[in-house]
Amino acid sequence: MWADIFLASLWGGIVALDTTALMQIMISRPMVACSIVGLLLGNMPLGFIMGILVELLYINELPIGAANFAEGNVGSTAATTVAILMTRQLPQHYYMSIALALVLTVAISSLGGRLVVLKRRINGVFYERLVYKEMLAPRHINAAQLYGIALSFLVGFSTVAISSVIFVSGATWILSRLPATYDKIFQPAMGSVLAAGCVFLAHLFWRQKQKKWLFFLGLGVGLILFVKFI
Amino acid sequence: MAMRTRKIDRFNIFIRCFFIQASWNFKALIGLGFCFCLIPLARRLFETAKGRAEFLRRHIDFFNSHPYFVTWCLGAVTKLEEEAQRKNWPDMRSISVFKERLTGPLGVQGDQLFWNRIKPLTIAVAMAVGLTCGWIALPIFLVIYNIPHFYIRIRGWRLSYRMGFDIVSVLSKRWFQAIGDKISTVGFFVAGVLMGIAAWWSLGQNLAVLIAFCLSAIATMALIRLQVAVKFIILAVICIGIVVGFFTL
Repeated sequence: MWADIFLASLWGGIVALDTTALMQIMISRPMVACSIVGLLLGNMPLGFIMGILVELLYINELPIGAANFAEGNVGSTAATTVAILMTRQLPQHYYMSIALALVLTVAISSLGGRLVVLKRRINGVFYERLVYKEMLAPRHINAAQLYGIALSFLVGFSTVAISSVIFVSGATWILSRLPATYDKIFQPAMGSVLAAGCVFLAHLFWRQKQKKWLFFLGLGVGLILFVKFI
Repeated sequence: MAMRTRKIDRFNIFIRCFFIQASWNFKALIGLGFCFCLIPLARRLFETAKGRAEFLRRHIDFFNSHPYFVTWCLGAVTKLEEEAQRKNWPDMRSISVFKERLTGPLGVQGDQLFWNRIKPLTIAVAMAVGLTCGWIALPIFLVIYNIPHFYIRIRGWRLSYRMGFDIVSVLSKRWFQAIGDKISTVGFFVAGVLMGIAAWWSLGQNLAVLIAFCLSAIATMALIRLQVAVKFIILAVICIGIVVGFFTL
């Protein structure tokens, strides 16, 4: 288990880097990040499902300017790690693990958002030191940038590592007290979260004053498409 | 003293733009990152430590832009700094003013085009593919998102390095708005398609999941209208799902 948590935490660090600090090629999006956690921990289907469910939840929270936002990418990576490690120990509590991981996504994302603010404050301290330097040299700027990258990685790594260590044992203990027959009760939570994500997405485009009938046309096409495919 | 950058310097500046947000802070936003990108230029244009220090100090101030659109300013500043050295400009304030003027448009254009339109659209497409065809959605998402991403970075760099101050005229055109509107229209349609597919996917799980899907969609709409925070909406719909599960077990 410790090796798995370490591996997932390393990936969490990379996710945090891609979210804001580095290339932003979107490997940090929950759909991709959670699937890779699944791949790393040997349960890609669960990782993929978690990614799909969480993907749209924070679509309206845009990392614009100095706005505070929930760190949904790292949060979902940590929650998926917890879900996979829980289902490994309690395979009969599959849907309970998913529902609990969805709740954890919310909690860890909020915490991650605060850590990002803290990181940016620390970056501000480095910046102030540079501004008051008498003889500014390229190496000083390079070093500040490197600190920024290291801090971002650390935020992602520590968020995933700490939340996995705390929640895997704690949540497994709680779930093991519940009878496995209750597992099916938690399955509809998947549909609920997916619906909320879809509404968030539709609302984002709805605000852009588009022709409203387009949405309903799309809805009809979606319903027909799925029948044709399946 | 060299008056022009070499290709390798310009490539180096371009590559550094991928790291521009690493030192993001509340005091200068990406000002420090912008300065970091220009280090190869400082090394090429100034031989003395004093000259470099003065150059870096001019560029370490407040600056903001969307990360993908930053090349639209970086290229122009590279060109202008070269010209300033070649023609021995007595005053460099015009470059600082130029950067200040670009701060607003670069942020707004990028946020509107990428965060508000291209990202949600590509995610919606990938989700629709993911719910019907599985993991193949992941490479599809990364490819369709990153084509416009890299295109904007590369085109911005080339165009602004060629045009210098005149890049403002390109940025102020209504081209971005028109593209954004088209993407928004497609996005709204795709959001509908995704909703339909997601409803079918829920029914594929079982009827209780579909009931939870419908109830949660209605509840989310209501809670958005009431301006409830996202985290509370998520927790509320999870509760709805569990309640539906309890009654349908």
